[in-house]
Amino acid sequence: MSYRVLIVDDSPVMRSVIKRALTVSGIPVNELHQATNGREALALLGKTWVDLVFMDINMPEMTGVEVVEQMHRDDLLADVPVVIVSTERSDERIGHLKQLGVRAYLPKPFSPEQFRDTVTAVLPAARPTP
Amino acid sequence: MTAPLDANTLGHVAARTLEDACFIFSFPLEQAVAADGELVQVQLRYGGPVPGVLRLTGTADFGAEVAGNLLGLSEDEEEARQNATSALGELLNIIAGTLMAEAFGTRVVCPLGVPEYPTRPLPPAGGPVAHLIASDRHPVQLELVPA
Repeated sequence: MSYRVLIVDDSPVMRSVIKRALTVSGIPVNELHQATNGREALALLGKTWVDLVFMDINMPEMTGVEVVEQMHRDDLLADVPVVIVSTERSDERIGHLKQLGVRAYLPKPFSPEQFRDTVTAVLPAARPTP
Repeated sequence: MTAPLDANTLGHVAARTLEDACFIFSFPLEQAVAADGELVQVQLRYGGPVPGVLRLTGTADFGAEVAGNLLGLSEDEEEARQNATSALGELLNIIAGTLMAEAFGTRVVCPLGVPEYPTRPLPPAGGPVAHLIASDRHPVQLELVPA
């Protein structure tokens, strides 16, 4: 099975790091979408189905928290798995995001092993075959 | 147990982040050393109990090395050079998040802004400053500017 993935981050370097981590982890991806802020992400999610979203928190125009709040209120998007990839460590903020249905929180910087373990915990079928 | 938000903590966090995120080793310097080449500066605002701005100044060559290590490229490759500035923004973002957690713990919300890139390097603003030399050749300066 291959996955449709959306990476939402205003940093082109971070988007490339996540793309590379997907490849290195052996996660099969057949569609890779990118957005540079929350507004772009919601526009894309409105017309394209994805299996997994990697979401930064601090972005211009619309933050990752605002996107997750909007996804939570939308019947079609509420169940799309979201992994937050951020440097913010606040328990309160992470707790709030988990209450809204965020599946995992991946703190930056992360190792390829942490990345793979996080993705396969969220999408068990994505576990690479040895 | 939290650490004081000062030059010493800033230097430690920056060195650890360089190592963990980019596999770049560095050591602290007592004072600034002259940098060869074009300087790049990036800053990021932070909130919380003691709001301010965290500012990083380094060379474009240092940015290319950070980009190259993050992306698995040689620092001489065009893509690494093109991403040098953005890579310093990402590095500063990671340093800021780690620094806030180190200084205030994780029970306090310290909102972070997005990296800003001044068109010309701003002079020191009188806040705590940490100097590092990265990869034995790149001087890096970090400053905490109180709001």
